[in-house]
Amino acid sequence: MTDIKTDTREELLRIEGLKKSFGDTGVIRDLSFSVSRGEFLTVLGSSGCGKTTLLRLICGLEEADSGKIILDGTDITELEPNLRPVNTVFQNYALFPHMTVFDNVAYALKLQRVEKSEIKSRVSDALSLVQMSGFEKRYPSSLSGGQRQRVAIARAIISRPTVLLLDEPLGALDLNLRRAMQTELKNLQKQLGITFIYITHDQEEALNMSDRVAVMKDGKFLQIGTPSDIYDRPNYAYIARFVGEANILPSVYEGECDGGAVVRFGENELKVRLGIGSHSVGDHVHVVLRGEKIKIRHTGEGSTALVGKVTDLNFAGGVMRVSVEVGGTRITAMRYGLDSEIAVGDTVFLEAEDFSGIICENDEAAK
Amino acid sequence: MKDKMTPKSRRKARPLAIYPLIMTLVTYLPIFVVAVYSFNESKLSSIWGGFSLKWYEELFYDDAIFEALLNSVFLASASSIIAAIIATSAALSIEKARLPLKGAVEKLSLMPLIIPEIILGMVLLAFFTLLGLPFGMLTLLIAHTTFCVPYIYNQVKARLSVMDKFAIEAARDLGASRMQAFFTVTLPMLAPAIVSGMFLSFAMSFDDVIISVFVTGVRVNTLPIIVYTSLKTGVTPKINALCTLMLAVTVLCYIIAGAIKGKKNTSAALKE
Repeated sequence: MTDIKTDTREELLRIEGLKKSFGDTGVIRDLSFSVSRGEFLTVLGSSGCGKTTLLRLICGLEEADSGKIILDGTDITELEPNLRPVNTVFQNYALFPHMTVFDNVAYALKLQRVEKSEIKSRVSDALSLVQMSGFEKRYPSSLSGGQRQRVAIARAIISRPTVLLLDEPLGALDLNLRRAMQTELKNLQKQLGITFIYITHDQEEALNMSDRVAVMKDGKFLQIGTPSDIYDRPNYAYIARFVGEANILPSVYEGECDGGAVVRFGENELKVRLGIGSHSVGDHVHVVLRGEKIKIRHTGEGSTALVGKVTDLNFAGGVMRVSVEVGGTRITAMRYGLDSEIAVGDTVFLEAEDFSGIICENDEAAK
Repeated sequence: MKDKMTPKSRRKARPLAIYPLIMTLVTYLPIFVVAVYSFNESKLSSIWGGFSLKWYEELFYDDAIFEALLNSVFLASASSIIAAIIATSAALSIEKARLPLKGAVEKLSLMPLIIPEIILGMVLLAFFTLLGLPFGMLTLLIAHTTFCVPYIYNQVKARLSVMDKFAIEAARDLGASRMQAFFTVTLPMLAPAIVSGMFLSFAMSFDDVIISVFVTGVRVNTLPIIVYTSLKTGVTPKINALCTLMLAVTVLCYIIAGAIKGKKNTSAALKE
C-alpha cells in the first residue's frame, strides 16, 4: 500500500511526546504523530482509550502534562482554547439552548466583531452547507438530533478553523442517519478543505470516511495508516479484532518463504505475510485471517485445506457466518447469500489463498 | 367488563374529592374573609357596611406605613440582589471545586432553611451586638441576605445539575474568553433559576417579621413589623387592607417565580 497521497501533503499539526494523566492514571501516554493539511484523520478506539482526552488537549480544554502541540509551525501547547484556530463538534452537540440557530452559528463571528451584514451572509452560507437553511429562528430544543448535529457542525466551521475536531459526532444518531451523515461529512470535508480529526469507536465509520485511521488503545496509537492498511495489514491482533471480524490462528513460525513466512497451524502449513515483528523458527505467533478470505468446501481430501466441523451457522442478512472448529480453534468463514448446503455438524474443508493471512503481534506487545 | 367497572370505580372515587376541598377551605377561608373585610365600609370588623376603598386610601396617606413600605421594598430588593450574587458564585464554584468536605459545605449552606427563625434572629442579634453594629437598615439587610441565600442557591444548584456544561466549553472553543463565556452562556443559562430564586427571596424578605424584630433599630420599621406591632393597638380594617396588599405582593412573587421555573423545566425537558 502506498501512502503517497498523504506523504506529499504539507504537515499541519504535529504532536510530540504528549502526556496527560488524571491522578495516577495515564490517559495519554507519550503520543507522537502528525497530520497533513486537508487530511481526514480518524482516531479509532474503544471507550476509555483516551481519544476524547486527546481531542480536548488539541482544542485546549485540557492542559498537557508534557509534550508539544505544534499547529502550522506555532507551538500552541500553552494557548487558551479561545486563541487556537481549532474548533470542535462536541459529542452531545453542546448547542446554546438560550440562543436561536442563527445566534448559535453566529456566535464565533460576533465575538470576532465581524460586521453584521457579513455575519448574516456567512451564517446563511454555513447553514445551507449543512442543509439547515430556514431554521435560523428555531431554538435547539425544537430540533431533532440530526438537525442539532448539523447546526453544531455549521457553528464549528463558521470561522474557518485550520483544524476541525469531531468527537463522535454521529454517536447519538440512528443507523440510517449515521450512514447518510458519514457521506455528507466526507463531502463537506472535501468541499471545505479543512483538516478533520475525527474520533469514533465505530470501525465502519473509520474505514468509510478517513484518509488515515489511527487505532488507539490505552493512551497510545497502535497503528496509523490508510483504512486498507489497517484492515489488511493490522500490526496487532487487537486491531484485527477491533476492525472487522478476524480469525486469530495460534501458529508456530517455521521460516521465511517468498518474502512471507511459513507457519504451522495444527497439522497444516500456511503461507502468510510477515507483520511488523521479527521471529525465529519455533516461535509462537498469531496469524490473522479474515473470514471473507476463507472458502468452504465439502470435499478437499488430500489438499492443504484445514479440516473441521461446523459448529454454528449465523445468518445476518446478506452474509452467512459459518463457525468451524479446527483442532480446538474456532474459525469463522463468510458465505454470501443463503446456503442450504452447509449444516451444523458437517465436516468441511477450509481454504484460503497463500499470503492472505498475516502475522500479528499479540496484545501484550501493545503495552 | 371494563365498561361496567369504570362507572363503579368513579362512584367510589367521588367522596374523596371532599378532602382536598376541606384542605383548601381551612387554608384559604380566613385569608378570604380578611381580604373581603378590607373592603368593608364599617369600622367594626363584625358588621358588613358596604364596599369601600377607604381603608386603602387611609393606608396611602399614613406616613409611617408609607415609610415602612419603602423600607420593605428596598430591603427585599437589596437583600435578594446581594443574595443572588453570593448564592450564584457559591453554587458555581462548589460545582467545580473538589473539596474533601464538599457534601458538608453544601449541607451547611442550606442550614438557614432549617434553623428556626427565632433562633436565627436571636443569634444574629447577639452577633451584631458583639460586632457593635448599630441596629437599623444595615443589620436588617445582613440578616435578610443571610436567609435569602439558600433559596437562590437551591434554585441555581438544581439548574446547574441539569445544565449542559459542554455549552460553556463550546463557547471557549468558539473563541470566548472566560469572562465572555460567563456572560454570554453561563449566566443566560442560569438566569431563569437566579431570577426565580430572587422572586422567592423577595417574598421571604417582604413578609419576614420574626428575624426582623430582633435585628431592627428603634426607628426602622418594615411592613410586617407594623402589622405585628398593631397587635398591641388592636386589628383595624386598615391593617386588614395592609395584610391584603402584602398578601397580593407575596403571592405575585411566588407566581412569577413558579412561572419562570416552569418555563425553565420545560426547556430542560425538551433538551433531553
